[in-house]
Amino acid sequence: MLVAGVDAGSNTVKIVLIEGGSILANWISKTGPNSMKAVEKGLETILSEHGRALHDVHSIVATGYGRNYIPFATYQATEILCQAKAIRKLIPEAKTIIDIGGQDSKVIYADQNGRVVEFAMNDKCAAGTGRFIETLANALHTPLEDMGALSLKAEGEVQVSSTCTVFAESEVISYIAQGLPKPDIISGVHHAIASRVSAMARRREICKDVCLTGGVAKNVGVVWWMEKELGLSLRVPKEPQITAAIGAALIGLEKASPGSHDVPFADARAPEITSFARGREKPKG
Amino acid sequence: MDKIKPRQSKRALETSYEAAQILRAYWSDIHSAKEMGKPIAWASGVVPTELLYAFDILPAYPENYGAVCASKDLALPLCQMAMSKGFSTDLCSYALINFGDIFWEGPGKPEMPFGGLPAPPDLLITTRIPCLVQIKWWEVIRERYNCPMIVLDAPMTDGQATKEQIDYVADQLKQVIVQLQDFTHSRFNEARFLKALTLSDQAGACWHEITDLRGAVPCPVGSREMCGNVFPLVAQLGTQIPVDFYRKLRAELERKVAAKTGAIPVERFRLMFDNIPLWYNLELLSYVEQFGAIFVFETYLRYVWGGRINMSDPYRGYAEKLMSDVWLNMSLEQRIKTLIRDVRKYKIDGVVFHSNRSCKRFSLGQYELKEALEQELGIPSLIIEADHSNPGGYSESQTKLRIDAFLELLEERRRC
Ligand code: SF4
Repeated sequence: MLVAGVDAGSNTVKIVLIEGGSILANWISKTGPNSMKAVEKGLETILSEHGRALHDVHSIVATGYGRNYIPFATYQATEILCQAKAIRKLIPEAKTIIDIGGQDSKVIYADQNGRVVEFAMNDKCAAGTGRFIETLANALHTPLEDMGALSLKAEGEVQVSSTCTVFAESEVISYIAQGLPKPDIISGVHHAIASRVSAMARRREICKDVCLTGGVAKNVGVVWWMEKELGLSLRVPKEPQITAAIGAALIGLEKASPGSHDVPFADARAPEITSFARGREKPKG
Repeated sequence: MDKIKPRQSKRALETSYEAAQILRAYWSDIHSAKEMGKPIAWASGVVPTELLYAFDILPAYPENYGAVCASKDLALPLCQMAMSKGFSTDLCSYALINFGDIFWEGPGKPEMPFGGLPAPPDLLITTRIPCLVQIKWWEVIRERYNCPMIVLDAPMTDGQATKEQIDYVADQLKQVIVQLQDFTHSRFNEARFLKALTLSDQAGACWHEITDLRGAVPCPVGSREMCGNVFPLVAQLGTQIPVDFYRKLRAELERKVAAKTGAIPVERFRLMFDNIPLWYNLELLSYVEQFGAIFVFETYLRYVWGGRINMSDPYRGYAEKLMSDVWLNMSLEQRIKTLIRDVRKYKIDGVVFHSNRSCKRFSLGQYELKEALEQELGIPSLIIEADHSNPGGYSESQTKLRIDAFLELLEERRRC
């Protein structure tokens, strides 16, 4: 059975196809002005690349901010439920999930069975979201994807204390003007976002295995600071940006076999990003 | 801010349609009274309305009117006008709406619903039972219109008022009576006041019974509709109108409950709503109904309006009623006890707390309430951030995401 999970996020659209209990393909692209169009295009592309068409798909489950605007979706579910469903399969030990996306960050607390018992969200302002890093990467004239690696070269520590993204931007500009090294400033930016998100996560007891998802989880600098702030080693799935879409597809499978909460999923133990790959061995600050 | 709202369509109860007529009649009466030169008081919530009626003074309610303006999408320009006059954005939006109205300058003033508050007021009456904002707010109105102002002072209780507190407020009431005599140049007609109290008690009793009838499974009427039915209790206690209206409503509910007719086809989750609703988006209260959930109890509807009066000792009984059983006047401990009792009593599956930017007095302690619910009853709850009248900081999609996720959480709990 072929099912699709679609995460129509504010910045990016993520699509995952699951067939025969494992991931057949995934697809990530910018959302653009029309999430429905982006999803449509993404689905067509990914399906045709694998010699399939829309009518081959048993169900499409939509999540993300655009979840209610995908007319061809069979079901809708929130990212919160989808993340929990995916992480329950990918990293079953992780009962706390921190998701840092482009427009918000969330902390999901699950019980022993992987069911969501509580969640917290920061969506009132850009601080603590991917947008914060994006804005400051612009101010630093640094490509977003280079921010993580660059920050690992930091020798000293720079404090970005403004919670407001706009003020943080002027703070960063003043550091640039003072001639402070770029890696130190970037590291300070990552520290700022990590401390905000960690503070939100700590409002409730977090478990030993904490999973980090969302596009920002690809940024090794943020991961490094999050680990330091939380005092533990984070578990990051191999492709942290598509976990909500995986969860959405898993919900499609569950719906297809009513009564089953444990649908088979072979990619369940897909390798995580290792500490080494994240450059954790490099001390900073 | 996202754009909202389909307006409410079909009501679960026939009687609910009468609420709109009562509201219209009230507004037309108050404007004709003003034209005829009868005294009008601008009154804050939880003031002794019964006394005003006993003195033939008609009360108008700037707070309630703020809610009306918000429901007509007029809050934003009025709040902005108030802020441009130097009032803080942190002020309660009921006050901001009123200030925007009474201090409006220049063109572009929205057409005020029901012809506007009858201005200038002849008298102001307020109390600090709900909050101190009201005193300061009324002082501003006094400055604006230069009219007399009466304040009924009352202490915060621990749920139930003590003997000394009751004595104190009973004494306050007597002082208010003296001031009203001075204002109207007429003698206090005690028999009339006692009659008003009896009517008030009857309406209050009826309201409690209505709340309990909504505790039936399935719940016969949801929150959104009930928010539209509260007006007679806010503005007309002491008259026959709420007694008749709530008796009729109660009778209809009794029939529904006996026939086990629920407001929604399949009732899967019973919810409680804490704090003042979002007047500009009451649709949020019925939004959950498409998912088989229904709000069956609201702290705002039960613990702000109505209440019983011990008529065997009317002054003290009335003093006690004014202070007790009012959510805003309860200590945190008392709120926790009350919440836990009601969650059990009304068979609640989950609680939605509205953290209301305007009303700190209502919102403080919600995290403690949430924790207590989880620890003592294992009942999950959700906190949404908004404001009762100012839609400026409200995000529809973010709020609905939280509500959707909360309903999923309840569903998952049920499944496993
Ligand atoms: S702060 Fe709360 S109690 Fe005070 S006037 Fe505003 S809504 Fe009413």
